[in-house]
Amino acid sequence: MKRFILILFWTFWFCGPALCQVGQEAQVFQHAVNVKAPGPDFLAVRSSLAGAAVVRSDFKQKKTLTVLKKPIVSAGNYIFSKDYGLYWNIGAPVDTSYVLTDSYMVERQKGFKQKVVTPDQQPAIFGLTEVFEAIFVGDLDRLSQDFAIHFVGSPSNWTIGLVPQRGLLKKMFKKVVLAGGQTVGEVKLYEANGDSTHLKFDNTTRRPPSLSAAEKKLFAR
Amino acid sequence: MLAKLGPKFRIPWLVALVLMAGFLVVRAVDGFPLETNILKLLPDTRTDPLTEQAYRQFEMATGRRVVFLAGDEAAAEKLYQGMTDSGLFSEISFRVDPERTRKIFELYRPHRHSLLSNEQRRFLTAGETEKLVQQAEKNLMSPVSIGSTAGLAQDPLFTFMEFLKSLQAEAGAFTVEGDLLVARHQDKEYILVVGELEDNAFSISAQERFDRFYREIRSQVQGVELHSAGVIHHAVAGTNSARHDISTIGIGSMAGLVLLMWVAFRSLRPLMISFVPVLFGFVAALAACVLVFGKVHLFTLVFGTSLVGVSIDYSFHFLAERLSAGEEWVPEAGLRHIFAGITLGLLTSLAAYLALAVAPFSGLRQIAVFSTVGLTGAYLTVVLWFPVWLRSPSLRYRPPTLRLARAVVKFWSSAKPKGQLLFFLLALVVLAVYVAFNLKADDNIRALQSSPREVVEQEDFVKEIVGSSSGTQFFVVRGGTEDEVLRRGEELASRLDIEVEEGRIKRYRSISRVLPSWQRQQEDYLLLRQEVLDPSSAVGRYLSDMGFEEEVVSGFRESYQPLEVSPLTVKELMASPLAELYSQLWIESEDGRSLASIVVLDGVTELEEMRLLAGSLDGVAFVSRADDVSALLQTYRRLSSWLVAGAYCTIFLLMLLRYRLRNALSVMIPPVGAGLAALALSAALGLTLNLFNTLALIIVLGVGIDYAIFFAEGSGDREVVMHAVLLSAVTTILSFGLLALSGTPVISSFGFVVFVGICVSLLLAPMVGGGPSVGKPPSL
Repeated sequence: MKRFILILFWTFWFCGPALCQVGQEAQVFQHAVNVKAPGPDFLAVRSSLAGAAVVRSDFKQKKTLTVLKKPIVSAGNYIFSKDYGLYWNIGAPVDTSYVLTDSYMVERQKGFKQKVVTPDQQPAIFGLTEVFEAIFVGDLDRLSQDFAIHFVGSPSNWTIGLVPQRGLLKKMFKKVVLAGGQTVGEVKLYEANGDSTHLKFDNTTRRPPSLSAAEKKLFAR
Repeated sequence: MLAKLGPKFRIPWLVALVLMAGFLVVRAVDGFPLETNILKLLPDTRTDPLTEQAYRQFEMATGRRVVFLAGDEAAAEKLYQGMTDSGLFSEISFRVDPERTRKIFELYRPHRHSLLSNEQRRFLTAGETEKLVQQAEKNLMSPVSIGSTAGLAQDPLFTFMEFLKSLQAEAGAFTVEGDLLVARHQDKEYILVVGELEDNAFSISAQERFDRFYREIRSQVQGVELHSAGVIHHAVAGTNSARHDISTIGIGSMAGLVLLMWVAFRSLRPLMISFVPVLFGFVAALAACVLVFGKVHLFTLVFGTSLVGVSIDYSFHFLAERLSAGEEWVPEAGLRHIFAGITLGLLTSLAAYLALAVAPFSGLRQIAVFSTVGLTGAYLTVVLWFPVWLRSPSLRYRPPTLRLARAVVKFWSSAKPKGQLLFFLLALVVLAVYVAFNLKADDNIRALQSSPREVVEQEDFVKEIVGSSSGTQFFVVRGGTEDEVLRRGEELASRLDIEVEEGRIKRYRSISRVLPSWQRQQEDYLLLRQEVLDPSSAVGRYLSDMGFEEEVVSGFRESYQPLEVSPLTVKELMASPLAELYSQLWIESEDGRSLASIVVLDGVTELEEMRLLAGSLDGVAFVSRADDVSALLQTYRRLSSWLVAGAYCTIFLLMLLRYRLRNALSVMIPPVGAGLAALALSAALGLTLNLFNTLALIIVLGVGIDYAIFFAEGSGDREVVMHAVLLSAVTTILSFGLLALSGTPVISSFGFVVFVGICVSLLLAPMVGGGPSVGKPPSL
């Protein structure tokens, strides 16, 4: 059962213009990063990703599942704020949004009662949010605690490969690939069971660097 | 007659005592049959045997449960070691099976076709199948459910996943991390360790060993948070406070008594001798109680010590007589002097105590048996043996206490205006009116069983994190079959969900949260079956539109071919790791024919609402132990009040047999005045009336009437009587009036009334008699 909950969250990876290179993905896992002595390009990407206070972006998601004959496609947008957390909105084909903060998680599906989960009720979920947000803002220092990190490319066109090192992450995922330039443009999750999820991000912006009143409202319970 | 009969019974009385003492020693070999649970004083309220059994079983389980929260793993490990080494626990849950989650998953997986979350069931029964489909689509697309695709081939509709999610909400604050159960509270982590005590929490030896064990552990894990809750903590605190009372009050009263004897007799021999009848009476009373009831309750003993106050009167009258006779002391003559007084005193006391036995209440009956046997034993010892033990005259000595006694007597004989009786009677009426308007009763057991703040705070803290671990408010759901119990439990749960939503209860724990009734499983299966098998239904369209592989769809449809399912049963549940949490909520009668489940409530704000709820459902009873006990205490407080009033009236009638109306009235003034004064003072100090201080009034009556009779009967020197009464009153106050200082509310409220009552009896008694002809001719 725990697996189910942990799994519930495995998807907050995004950011940046879509500049990913297919070729880089093939090579990236041959270039492990020594976190204690990284190269200058990696350092540049790391500091560039770590800087965003607010990120807004549209996304397209394609899930390829072994039990389905065709991939499932959906699209929406997200807002990330360092202070508030993450708002993830699937516009089509199911109108559903998620709010994830330190102190609660809300699921709103059109036509359904809103569901709120607090850390008291399901602490395991919230234990993972820290990892998610680290991936999201590109906190590569934090990620190196759970993943072996690989890197190829330049600060304007890079690919990062993550291989989970322990516990449930390792049971669930074979590998995770992020690619981008200024921001994260693409995320690919490869599950241990052969399923995969491909997220592409468009119109990614860090401006304005603070949330509007309307945006703040989205984060409320 | 007395001189002839007395010697004949001396030896048989001693033989009887030796036999009783022997009996007690034999019984005490396997631990003395002492009962400390205050609730055991009360009769059982429920007549329905299964509800009673359910209650007992649940109480036993929760009563033995001790919950610990440790701040880190090392501390939890030490705690676990300590628990194992202590031998106190029959079961300890610490490291959980790392396969636990998988085992729970496996418990449900074979039954997944017939399990629905409450929400999804509502969709299906309301004909909103498309909502089920929308949820499934969301699950397929949302970032938060990718991993569930692992089970997607078996659960393409996500109904099983939704069911498991709804269970997860039930699991509470704890999550399995590695092999530990961990809760987070205010940014701190706590590891859960739960123990089941081998012994009942009210076993004194278990309490001592637990106390030692817990102190030891706390010193071992210093610096790390360690919290614990359980009935045993209350029991330990209660016993410690009783022990503290006995040692401090005991030592204080012992010292006081020795001093008193020295001042009064210049010798400790009288003290020793005067306590022999008390001791003999005590042995006889204890033996009688064990013989009749099998066990002796702690409260009986407390009440029993108060007998010291009454039975020591007999000794002191004899001693005071001896002191006043000086060189001309003839024991037989001395005994004759006091015989009428102490015999009448005994009879009135017996009448008072026997009035208690009228109540259908084991606690009161025990007290009645203990008191009558104890008093009779003490009386017999004085009458039969004192003339033998105290043959020699006492020292020539005018003790200061005698001078005090003389002064008091002088005051009363000089201050004897006409209409004194009328004045006192009026004063009694005024007191009675004051008491009637000002004294409030409070029968709440929670007020009587107050534990130290630390214990209560610990319990609240643990409760906050773990949820109610020792619920005292719950429903018992009964039925003839497993399915019936589960169905009724479901009905109750659906009503309780509303109560939770509306804030009338905080939460509840019920087996129906993790195990749907067989009927519901079958219904849910058929609901799903209809949708799954019909390709044109919303579900059918979903399965084809989403592009599920053919073999997934056909496999899924295939699994819904049978018309009936074999249900998930209680037996399977109890063989899974969930048994740990739910076995105490499921009860089967000894013959296995009737079944019940317990639904525990937490944070009930409206009790009456719960009673109404139980009343409106079949086979459901609401039990609120504390409130039931409080109601019971109230019933018996009222009953005892009537018994006390009855005892006063009975004694007044007895007095009328012996005295003229006027004198009978005046003999009644000290006990009535003492009782009313004790109540009035309690009211003035804001104390409340409860069963226990009501019972204390019986003692006040017994002692007060004794003092008054001694004065009425005192054929000789009134100073001698006053001296004896003074000594026995001071002794009584020292020996158990000091219980008013006890930290245990039950005992202190008892002690306070006795203390005030004795003081007032002592002050009022000398106004009785003193005229030339008090009684009708002696008939004894």
